[in-house]
Amino acid sequence: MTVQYDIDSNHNENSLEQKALVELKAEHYKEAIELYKQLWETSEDKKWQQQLAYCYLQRATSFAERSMYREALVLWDNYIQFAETPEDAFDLYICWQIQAQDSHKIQTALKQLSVQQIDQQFSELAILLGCLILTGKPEFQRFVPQESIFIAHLKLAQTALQAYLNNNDQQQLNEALKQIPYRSTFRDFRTLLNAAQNYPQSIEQILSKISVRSPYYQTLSLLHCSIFEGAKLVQQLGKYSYSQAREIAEIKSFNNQQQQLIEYLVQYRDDISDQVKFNALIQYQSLWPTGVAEDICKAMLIHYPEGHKDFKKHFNALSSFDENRLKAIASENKNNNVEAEAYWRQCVETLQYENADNNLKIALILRHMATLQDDIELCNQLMIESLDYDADDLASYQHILHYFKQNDLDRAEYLQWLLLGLEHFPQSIELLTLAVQQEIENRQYKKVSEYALQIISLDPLNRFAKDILFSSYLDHARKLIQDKNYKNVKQYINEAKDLKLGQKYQAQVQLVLGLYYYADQDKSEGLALITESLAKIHKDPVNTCLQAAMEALLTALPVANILEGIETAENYLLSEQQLNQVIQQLNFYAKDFDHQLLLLKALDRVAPAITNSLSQKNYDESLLIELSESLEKINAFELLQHCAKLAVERWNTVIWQYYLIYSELKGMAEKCSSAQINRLEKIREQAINDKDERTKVLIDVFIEQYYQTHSETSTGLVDSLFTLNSGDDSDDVYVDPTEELFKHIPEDELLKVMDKSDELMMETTPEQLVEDLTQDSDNNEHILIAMMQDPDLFSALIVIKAAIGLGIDIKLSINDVLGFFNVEQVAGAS
Amino acid sequence: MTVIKTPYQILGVQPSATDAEIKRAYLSKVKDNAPDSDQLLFQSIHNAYIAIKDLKSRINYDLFTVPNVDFDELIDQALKITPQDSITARQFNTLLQASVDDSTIQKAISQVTK
Repeated sequence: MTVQYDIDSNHNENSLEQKALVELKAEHYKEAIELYKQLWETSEDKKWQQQLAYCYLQRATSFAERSMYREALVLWDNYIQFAETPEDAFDLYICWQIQAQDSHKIQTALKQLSVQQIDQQFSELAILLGCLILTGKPEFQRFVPQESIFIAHLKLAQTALQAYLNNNDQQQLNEALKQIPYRSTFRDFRTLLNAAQNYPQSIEQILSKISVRSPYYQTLSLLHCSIFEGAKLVQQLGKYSYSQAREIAEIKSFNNQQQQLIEYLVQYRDDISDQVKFNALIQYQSLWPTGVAEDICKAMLIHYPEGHKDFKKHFNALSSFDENRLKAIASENKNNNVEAEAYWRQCVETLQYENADNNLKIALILRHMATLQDDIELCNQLMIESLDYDADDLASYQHILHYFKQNDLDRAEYLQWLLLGLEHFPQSIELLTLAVQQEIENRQYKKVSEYALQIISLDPLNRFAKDILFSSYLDHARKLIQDKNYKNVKQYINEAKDLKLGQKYQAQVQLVLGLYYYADQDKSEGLALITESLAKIHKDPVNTCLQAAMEALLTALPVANILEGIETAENYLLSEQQLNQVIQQLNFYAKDFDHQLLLLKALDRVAPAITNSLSQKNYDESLLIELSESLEKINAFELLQHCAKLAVERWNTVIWQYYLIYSELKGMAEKCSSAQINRLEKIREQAINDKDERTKVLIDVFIEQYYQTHSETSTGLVDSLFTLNSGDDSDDVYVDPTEELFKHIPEDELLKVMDKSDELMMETTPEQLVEDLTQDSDNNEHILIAMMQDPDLFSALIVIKAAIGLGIDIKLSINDVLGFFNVEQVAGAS
Repeated sequence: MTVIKTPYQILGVQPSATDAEIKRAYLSKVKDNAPDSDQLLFQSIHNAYIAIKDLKSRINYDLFTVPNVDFDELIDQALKITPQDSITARQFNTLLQASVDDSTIQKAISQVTK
């Protein structure tokens, strides 16, 4: 189509023309036509004629674009009245006639086509006509100019197609196709037919060779679709008309059921819901192996419960057990574990009433329920319950034991479960290891060795068991030396040696052997062995001295004599690594609770060196915390206090403030003054702010111990007094003034006085106290006021009253105390 | 191809198979499908064995496992036919005839209009 009009050429000042032009530009052709008609009636100017023709054609085209071909053709008749060369758009007319399907008019139109038009001018129409003639409108052929190239090429295409259809006559087919030139109207047809020869490989290759706008593209697209299989084919078929989809299904030789399934799925292609899937499985179940559709439908009921009714109709009804099981799984999928647990419980009940051995099923369900349970106690109960049905489940025992251990619950019950577990799983290294640990806690060392030996019999390389046995043998040897029962000492030492744990362990063996020689054989040989072995273990005198002293104490040998041959440790400054070794030694020996007092004695031997080192070296805070933990464990309060005092000056970490108070009180919470409790409360807050959970817990435990020994009523008054003084927000380390005041009192006397003070504290009001001490009820108001201002004065005066009550001379009078607190003294005071 | 790939089907054993039979089938499958040839297949064989290796595992599987079905795989199985390696002239012609409909002509006309 080559019609082109100049819409601007006749532009003048005429307002009608202006309006027409505006409508034309806005593509309002109907309005433009009316205006141009008026202009044409006014003056039969050629330019109005041209504009009218243009508008009619455009309006006709816009109708055709909306498939309103009959309307388009009416407008065509108007168009040709004004068009100078209507034949230029004749291809449009033919196309519209084809779509309008008026055969007579199509024939008439085709007959009017010239050779030039079909071969040169209307190439797109020629392609369409060619395709139509080849695909179902052969009658068009005879109306097209027979002498045209179009007809010549059409005949070649028809010959090729016929050759293909007639037993695939390759020679004739190829000859015909070869004669169709590259620029022919039938080029796409030739490409398509060539590709069909090499189906399916070539189809993908020619997808880009035929334009999507070509009438042959749809054939290519259908051929391509037919390559797909299964679900992908169904997806592809959704793009085509029902009849086209059916043709493809037929080509692929699907059976009736398969074709119906395809049709069903294509019908719901935009929303393959659970319902559609479920129904497809039921309706076309014969397409799957027996039972598959039923199994899948059953599984689908979990998220498609609406299917229950249809399921019952088409398959076997679900058992009550299965129904609850599916509901339970559905609830789990919705993360509703409470609901799931209820359904699982119903499953258990159903199984319990069945006349079948369902014990294992029940046990497994109970264990599964335990995994859904957030409450660890209920979870543990389920595990315990499960063992009633299946006692042979190692994981359940492990779970239960872990629960008891983690929650620090009844040890007897823990041991009971451990023994039960071992009864069922005597070869479980994990349970045996737990048994070893438990018997160490119970200090049943014989049993420890027995379990450790069992582990080694199962796993000869088990390091844990070997370590335990090693310690056990040497402990036995030491005990025998201590008891001066030397008969079997060497046997135990050799047993330890035979475990062959490495050089450092051999040095330990040598050390105990040295102790044995010293005790029972040759003292000098013994000392030499001790010195030699310690030199292998340690490189510094502090660690050497500590271990030598400890080993001597453990074997009841004279410490001073054993230390004779060892370098003095007093002035030695420990490196970080050596201090770490000290910590390790403390931890190692502290494992046995019975050794703690001996360890304190041994530590005394090296305490000056440690104190010195702490004062002079800048150790890392974490190392000092580790040291403090070890010192706390063995009640080495003096060293702990020293460490805390130094640390508190260097770091603002709350743990040091806690350790300072803790060590000052020698770990006795009951001795805590109210001021110290207040102080602890404050640092507890700081620990919370610092997110220092460990220190917070330590303080909590300490405060709890304090309150366990002080009833609320007795401390209420004192606490209220202290509360008045709690405005002191100073971060300085609190020093208890009473400690300063009474530090000269011997410790044994002070303990008695303090115990009595605690008693009095609970039963004495400040007024009573002052009255008792001063015997002057009229003149003690200033003391009460002073007590209000400084609660430590109350504590100090209570101590005086306690000492008087016990008849202990603490060499302090009430006036000494008042003087200490800068309070005006009283006459006649005791 | 099987849609619900139960561990039994993966290992090629009956649901009534004994522990020993299952182990034998597993070892044979592992031998034929080494992990370096197809890691995913090997993993599925291994998982299948773990799921049904003993009575407890099998009951566990039956109680708590529901078939994880890929609907597309189900359709693939239902529409399984012998793959076509060619198309007949008649089939080609059927498609050629079926391809030309109103939309084809309309598309072609739009080309003419342009």
